Amino acid sequence: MDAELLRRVQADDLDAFEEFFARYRSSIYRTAYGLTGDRQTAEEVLQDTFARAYQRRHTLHADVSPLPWLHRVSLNLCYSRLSRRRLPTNPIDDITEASRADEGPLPADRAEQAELRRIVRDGIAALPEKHRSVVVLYYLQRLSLQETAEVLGIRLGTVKSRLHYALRNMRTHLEEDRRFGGAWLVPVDDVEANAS
Amino acid sequence: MIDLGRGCSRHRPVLIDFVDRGEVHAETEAALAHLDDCARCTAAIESTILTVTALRRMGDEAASLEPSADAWLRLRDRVRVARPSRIGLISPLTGMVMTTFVAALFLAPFRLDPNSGSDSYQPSETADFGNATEDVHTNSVRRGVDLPNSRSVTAPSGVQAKVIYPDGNRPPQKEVPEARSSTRPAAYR
Repeated sequence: MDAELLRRVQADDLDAFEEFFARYRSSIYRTAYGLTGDRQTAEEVLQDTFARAYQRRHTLHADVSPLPWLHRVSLNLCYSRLSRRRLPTNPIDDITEASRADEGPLPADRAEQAELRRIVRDGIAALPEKHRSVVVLYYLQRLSLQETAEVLGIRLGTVKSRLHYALRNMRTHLEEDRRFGGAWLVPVDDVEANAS
Repeated sequence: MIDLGRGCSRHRPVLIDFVDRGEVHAETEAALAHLDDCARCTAAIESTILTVTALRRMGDEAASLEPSADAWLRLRDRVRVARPSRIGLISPLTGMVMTTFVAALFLAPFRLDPNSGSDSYQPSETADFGNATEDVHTNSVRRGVDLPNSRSVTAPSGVQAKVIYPDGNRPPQKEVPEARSSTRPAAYR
């Protein structure tokens, strides 16, 4: 199915390109949003990613899925934007809660969950670039380890290793955060640091 | 590092693989048994479970996110600009005709004489102008040489020509002796 669609895209069929865009846009958009935390930037990255896909449509292989390539392009575009400027954060929970604004005031547990998500978002943003990629692709995008390795062009063992250190950093970040009322206040040690 | 010789550094990665991805290794059972004796590892694993749960919940919520409704319209406008122009789709015959036309534009300053009966190159009137001017100048100089007692330059009407010799007579030329070298021996002259 992908192969036939790609062949039509390569033959300058604009309807086929629309179908191509509709098929992959959500995944790319969520990846961009997971990395940047900003809807406007995620929209720009989405546009740039598919514009580049159209420019390079003749170099895409029809026998493999274009999704890893699209993810790779969107990741690079996200990082170039993140390095250019400090993006305003607009965490996922803000968007989600805004969409529920007509449901009345937030219950206490929902506000607590929103706060937790904000902490997690900050924790992801504080990760090194390579760790952030694996967290977004594996936990937020729900890609498998193998798919994550394919998108990032690294080995499966490297993905596992990066996930391990990313989790440790995330855990440290959450444990040190006082906004959550001490729920994460678990003693931190560096046992894993010497495990590798 | 706090290990206390109980194998925390060995068991911790195995336990994280187990709680995060459900991976079971040969050492998993021993690692789980280690949790009964190690409060520090138990706390770390509980913290890891909370972190993974929070991340996955965030992934669930992100799954409902969609780009704006006009995303395709904006991309389509952008792609249309980038599409190949029609100039790339003209037929070879049209291309040859256009090439001939452009070549004719470059050759327009030169013309072929229709009365010559041949295709030999003839310079145009513009090119003749330079030769004619040179001929007039050459002839005027020659006239001045052939007629020594007259004014060699004809002034235009109403303009007083400059008189080089007021009495109208050219002074006689001086006699110049034959050149001789004083340094070369006569045998080599």
